[in-house]
Amino acid sequence: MKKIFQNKTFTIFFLIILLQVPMSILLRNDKFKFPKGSFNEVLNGSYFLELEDFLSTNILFFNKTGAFFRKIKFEALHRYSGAIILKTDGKIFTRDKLNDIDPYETADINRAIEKVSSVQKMFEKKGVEFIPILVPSRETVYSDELYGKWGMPTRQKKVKNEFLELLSRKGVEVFDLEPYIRKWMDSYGDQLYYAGDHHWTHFASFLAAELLIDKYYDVTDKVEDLPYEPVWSIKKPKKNSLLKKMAFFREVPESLTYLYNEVTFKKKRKSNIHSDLLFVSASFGSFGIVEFLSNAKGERVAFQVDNGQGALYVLNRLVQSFVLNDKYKNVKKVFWLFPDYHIPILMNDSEIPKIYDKKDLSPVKFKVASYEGMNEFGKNKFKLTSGDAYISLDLEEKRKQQKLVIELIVSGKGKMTRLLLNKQSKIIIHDGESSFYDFKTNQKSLDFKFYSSRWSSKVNRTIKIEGVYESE
Amino acid sequence: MVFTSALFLFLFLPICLVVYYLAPYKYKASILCLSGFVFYGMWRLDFLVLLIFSTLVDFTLGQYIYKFRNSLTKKRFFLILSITINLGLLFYFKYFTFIADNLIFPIFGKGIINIPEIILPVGISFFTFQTMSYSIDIYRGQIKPTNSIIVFGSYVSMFPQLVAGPIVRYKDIEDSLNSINKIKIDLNRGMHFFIIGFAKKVLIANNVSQIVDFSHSISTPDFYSSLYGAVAYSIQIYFDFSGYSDMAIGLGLLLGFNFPLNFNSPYKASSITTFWQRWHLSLSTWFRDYLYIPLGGNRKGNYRTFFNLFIVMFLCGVWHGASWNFIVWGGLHGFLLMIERYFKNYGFRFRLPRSFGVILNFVIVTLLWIPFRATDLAQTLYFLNGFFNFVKISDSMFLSHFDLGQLLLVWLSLLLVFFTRNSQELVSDIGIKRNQVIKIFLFLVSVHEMLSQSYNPFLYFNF
Repeated sequence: MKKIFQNKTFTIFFLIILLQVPMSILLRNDKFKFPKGSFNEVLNGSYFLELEDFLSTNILFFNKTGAFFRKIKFEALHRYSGAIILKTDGKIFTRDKLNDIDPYETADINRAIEKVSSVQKMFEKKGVEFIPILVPSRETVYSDELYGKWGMPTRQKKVKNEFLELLSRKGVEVFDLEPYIRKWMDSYGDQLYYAGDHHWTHFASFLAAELLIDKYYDVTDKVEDLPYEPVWSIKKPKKNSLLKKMAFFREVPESLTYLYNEVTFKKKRKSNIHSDLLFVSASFGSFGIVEFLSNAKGERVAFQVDNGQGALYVLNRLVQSFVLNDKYKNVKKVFWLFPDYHIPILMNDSEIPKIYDKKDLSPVKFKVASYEGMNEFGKNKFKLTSGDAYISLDLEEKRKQQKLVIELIVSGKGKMTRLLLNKQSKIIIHDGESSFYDFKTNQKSLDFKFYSSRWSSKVNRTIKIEGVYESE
Repeated sequence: MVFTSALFLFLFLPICLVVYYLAPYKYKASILCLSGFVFYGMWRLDFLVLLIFSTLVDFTLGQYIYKFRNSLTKKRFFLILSITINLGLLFYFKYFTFIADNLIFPIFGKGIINIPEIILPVGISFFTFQTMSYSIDIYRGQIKPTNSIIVFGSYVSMFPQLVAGPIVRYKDIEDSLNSINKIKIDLNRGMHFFIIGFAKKVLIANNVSQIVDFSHSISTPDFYSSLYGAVAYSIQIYFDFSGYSDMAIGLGLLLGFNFPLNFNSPYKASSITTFWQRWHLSLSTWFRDYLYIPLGGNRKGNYRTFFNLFIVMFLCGVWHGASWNFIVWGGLHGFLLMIERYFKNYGFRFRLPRSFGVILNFVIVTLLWIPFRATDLAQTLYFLNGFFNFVKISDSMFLSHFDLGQLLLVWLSLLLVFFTRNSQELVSDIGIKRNQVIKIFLFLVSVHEMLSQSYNPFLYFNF
């Protein structure tokens, strides 16, 4: 042993790896608590994933120097970028030029506000209370820890305040969860956000569930005594399932499901106060929406999007379900939770949820022959059936832009998909997440396959579409 | 567990090294064996049973093969039993579903058997090949089996090379294992190998992987996406796998074991033949010694040599996984090896400049990686199609997705591949103090990068 540490360089290397955990324990005391794992968690390996997450975010030395490293990396990789950004209106800008455009101009904010308030009006007409709830992102709440002095730009806070204020003037009151989250941070030692995933932990979800139920419903019995064990947003995976294999269960945002289960659990507990309440989650973008919409039966429906990226799509979906289908006729309240980092996205015209009405739909018929899908939950979760799709085709507007935009709106069970046909007769499918898929077509008959690399390269869905017909 | 994880780096490795260094010599082998089991069990505790089963079976059968060394029939029986069990495990976990999908179901229909969902145990291809080489070497009289199950257990489960190689032969580390009190722990070389491998994986392979993943998921590949995707994958797989091998070799040296080199600047090869003399050496020499030479090698005439070359590469492809992609990849490599051998045997000699040969070889190898990376043959063709889809730079969805710095990383890495020395050459600099400081700095940067990345296992964990 003595000989070993006569080698100075090795000693340095060894100390770097050896001292991290003890140092962190010594210096952070109560904050540095190893996760406790059950035997089952050890057996299936999930405990070690938890431990990995814990260690990678709690190692003190590297935490302290992390912001500096990220800054250096940013300078090296991103700062001098000449990469081109393709804007959705078809124009091309270099990043330098884009930098000249202020994404937070009041005009942009106003446009976003107009859209949100028009959604509210639409719900009002239906006699439904529309409650937007602003969820602070992990980056907002932990900005100091995550970014150090290169933290979140203060402008973002300014934009948020301006956004909320202008919405309020329009008569749309947003319930901002940020003060509550900050209070919970001080009050509880438990982590509220995952380290490697921007969703709430189930503990935060539990608190949010309590808060929302307390605020918006007459709750007579206490919910504090309920356990807040992790729950599954889907059926617990079978032993050898893909989920288990990929340890996805850790990534499943329990937050949404917790709310859902909270409600259904209450129902079983005879109190019956939430028996007419249903939470719809959209944490996986449109994935979750379909799953939960198909179960929607309650009188009041609460649509819940946690701090994930599905907020805009769930709003889209909500609007379509109400307007197109007249579904959920007895619904009295609709919650729309959106993360604060979506405010700038709301300003982007192309991403703002559009409000559809049957009269606005184009006379173009679009027939879906079959849609077979497979996602990480298993096969054929989302099946589009023949004849339940409509198309919105704004020829005049789009011809000016030399492209033809087709909005495929699938009602009922299904997935909202946007098809975009341009001059080269290509179809681009925007799947509601971050990827685009485009396909060559002869416009009469389409048969294509696309792959999603989000979870696994083997995930694939096939859509067969029997023709696109332009009726007179 | 992955080497590039906080759990391994800050918890498992330091504890393991401290216990190993402090332990008396007689316990070192047990510690090695136990640490290997813990390492494997942290992935899936239930699959640890499989590793222990494989260890016990080959240990026992090795004893019998040696016991009946004078009886050809008996020792052959036990060898065949050992190979059957090893290949049987491999077949069941790796190939059964593929065979059923492509052979059984098309002929007999889907209802004929009910196939459970089979999880591929990490490292099964590596440790079964390792234990098979043990049995075959005893059969050939090249080694004596160990009488200690602990020693054999530590050979099979030694954590540095357990899940992704290099495939270590028993004879390579026999002396160290059996006389562990005489092992020489090479801290300097071990640490430097480890740091270089770590940096290769974390700084280069993981960063270019974003480009690879995006280029393979884009719906309409264009020239740029296919070009970058193909080159970036060549970079990724080399830095990923050689990085892992360097770390394994480094960890081996820290524990006092010399593992064989696995890479020797493969992209500097000027032909496919020399490429395979430099790429994944522990696998290619395994196939050479246990398949190519027993099949007759190049001693049975030209046609037999061609056949042997092809079959070895075909099986090398199959070894990587049960998929038509790997079969095509292996088959094409085999075909090219045949062509090269044909030219050599029949006296066709092109005198091309070496640099031209290196570039041409890199282009061929890069193109052949495409089916290796793609999910199926349809996607391979789809990806290749992108090479013929010329679009303006400003119209490329792929280019708009990445920053210039990220794209430059691909070309910078390529320069590193061609114009810098490889790991073993770099490790020879360890005497120079300046280089030691640089490597510690490199390690710190790599740890930062590792902590800012999401879970990114080594590519060869899939095989």
